[in-house]
Amino acid sequence: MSMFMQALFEGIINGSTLALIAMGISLVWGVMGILSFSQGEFLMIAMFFTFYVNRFFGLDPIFILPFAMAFMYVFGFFIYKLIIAKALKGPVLSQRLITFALSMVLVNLALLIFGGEFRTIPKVMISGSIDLGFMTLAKQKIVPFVISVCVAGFMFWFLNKTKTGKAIRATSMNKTAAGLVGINSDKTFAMAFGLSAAIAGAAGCALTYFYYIYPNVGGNFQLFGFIAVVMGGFGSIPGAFFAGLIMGLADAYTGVYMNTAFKYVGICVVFLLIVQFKPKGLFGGK
Amino acid sequence: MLKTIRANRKWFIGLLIGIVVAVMFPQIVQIRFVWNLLSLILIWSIVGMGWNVIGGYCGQVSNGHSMFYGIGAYTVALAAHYWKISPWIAIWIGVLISAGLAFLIGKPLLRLRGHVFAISTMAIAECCRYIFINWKWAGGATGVYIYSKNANPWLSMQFKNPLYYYYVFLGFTVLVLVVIKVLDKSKFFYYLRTIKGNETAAESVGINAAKYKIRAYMLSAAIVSLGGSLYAQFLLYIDPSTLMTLNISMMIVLTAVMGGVGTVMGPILGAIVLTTISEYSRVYLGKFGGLDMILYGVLVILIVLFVPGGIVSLFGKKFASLKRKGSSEVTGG
Repeated sequence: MSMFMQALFEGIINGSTLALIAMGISLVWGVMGILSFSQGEFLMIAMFFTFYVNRFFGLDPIFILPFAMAFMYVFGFFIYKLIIAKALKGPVLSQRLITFALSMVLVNLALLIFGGEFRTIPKVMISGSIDLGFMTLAKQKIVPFVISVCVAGFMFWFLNKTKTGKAIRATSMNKTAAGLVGINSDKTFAMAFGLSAAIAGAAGCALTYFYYIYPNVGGNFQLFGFIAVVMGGFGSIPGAFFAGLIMGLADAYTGVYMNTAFKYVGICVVFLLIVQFKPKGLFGGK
Repeated sequence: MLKTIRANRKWFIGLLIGIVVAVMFPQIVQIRFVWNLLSLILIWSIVGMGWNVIGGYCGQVSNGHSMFYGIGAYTVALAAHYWKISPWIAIWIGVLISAGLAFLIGKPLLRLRGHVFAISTMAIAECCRYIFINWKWAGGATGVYIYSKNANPWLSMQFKNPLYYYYVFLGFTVLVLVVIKVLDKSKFFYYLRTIKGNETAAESVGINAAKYKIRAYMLSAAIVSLGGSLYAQFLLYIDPSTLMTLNISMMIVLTAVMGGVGTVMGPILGAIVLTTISEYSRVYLGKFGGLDMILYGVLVILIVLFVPGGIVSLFGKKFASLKRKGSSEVTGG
């Protein structure tokens, strides 16, 4: 039983990071139709940003969060203007390859500048653990979860209630129709790409609370993020969030009850079954 | 076959000239590094041409071909390691295994379209990598050595001189190239192009899309597996993290896309450009952390951005005739 609960806890914690990554991928996919391979690297950059701000100013990652999100938004915006805007005019396949090459450049740039060693934030504000008798909750791990939920809530509010958010959603539903009612698609695309980077930034900032920081960290989340997006349903951002949580749980439970070696196999089989029977994903509607 | 040769007399004369040049070239440029580079170019050409069948002609963009690459490599390695089977035979066993696996997973996978197909192939390839990492009998994470000291170099395809590899690989490349060229004008590949253009429309005129997609997937897997087997013989050492990563899958796609998707010569041109960039940047910039990969990535972005039709499209009319309208870009995505 305690094993079960512990796995539930770990699964939700990992799942919350995956959920944020998946939300970012889903946003870019829904709006621009690009399969973004660079989402994991945005997470990595935000982690390094948080690490260095923490080192030089001594701020706790919780307080760095807004700065990390703003920084990543600007970063994503520039990446869009510099590369993605041009790529959108080309065929779909070259867009995918460009984001892949971009992720390669970013990983190796980080390797060149920061080096390959594993780092951690030496001291965080909230640490210790809560003993519930049958299981222990590390406070350090609860923080990223709370942050993820808050950021996801903020994103839902932003996309559903604000004018900009509605413009982004309208563009993702029908680009031509959105253009007809006066939405500037290029500007919306840039904002959506910036936002997806900002979401990854929030995830990265939160993750520094208990995770190692190294240049290849993004790759661990990339494939699961993709799978979560497909499971959640094309273009459905809440779907992506919940599917991310499910992926985290599946990861934790298969890790506990099966040979860790076949954890991936288990997840992929479940994924393929879902895609076979519900090709539009669990939350994809009709 | 003979009909195709007669119809494309010029192309086949060009091929013969190309073979003569390819045979003479390393005799003129007597640098070991260049010989290695040429051998790698040939492997990537084969692999690129293999991916092109399903990704380029048929428009089903697979991002998981490293799986077949790895299976080809593992088959020759394990066959040599456990049963002392010569790679000349084991290569074809690997081809059969890959095609069989493609047949098995093709049925459920090829129903999916677009990004979902790409993600599913990625997921399966990743599964396959984890299976090999944890499979003790197949060497696990440490991999398998193929090198045997006293074997006959020709029988075991193990040469000290990279030049011999080059000539062996050249033979295989020409074989694959001729197969692709013959198929290029066949009904089969025209069906594939139709499926790429519009699958529903293709079915409405009586093309059994599912059947031809599976056949294309099997052929593609078989060719990529052949490339993987040759790579294993070239390195004489294999392990899952050099053969079956997402990076390899993406580089296979890149090779074909850089050269020009859905063209006969595209993957070869792509392999020449990409392998030359990556090998030279590795040698000269490899010592600075990840600088070589940065240069590689930046060049890839620039080429893909500014030459979206692939390098083939730069050669103007002479090559453009190979690139039929609509086949230059992938619509499936």
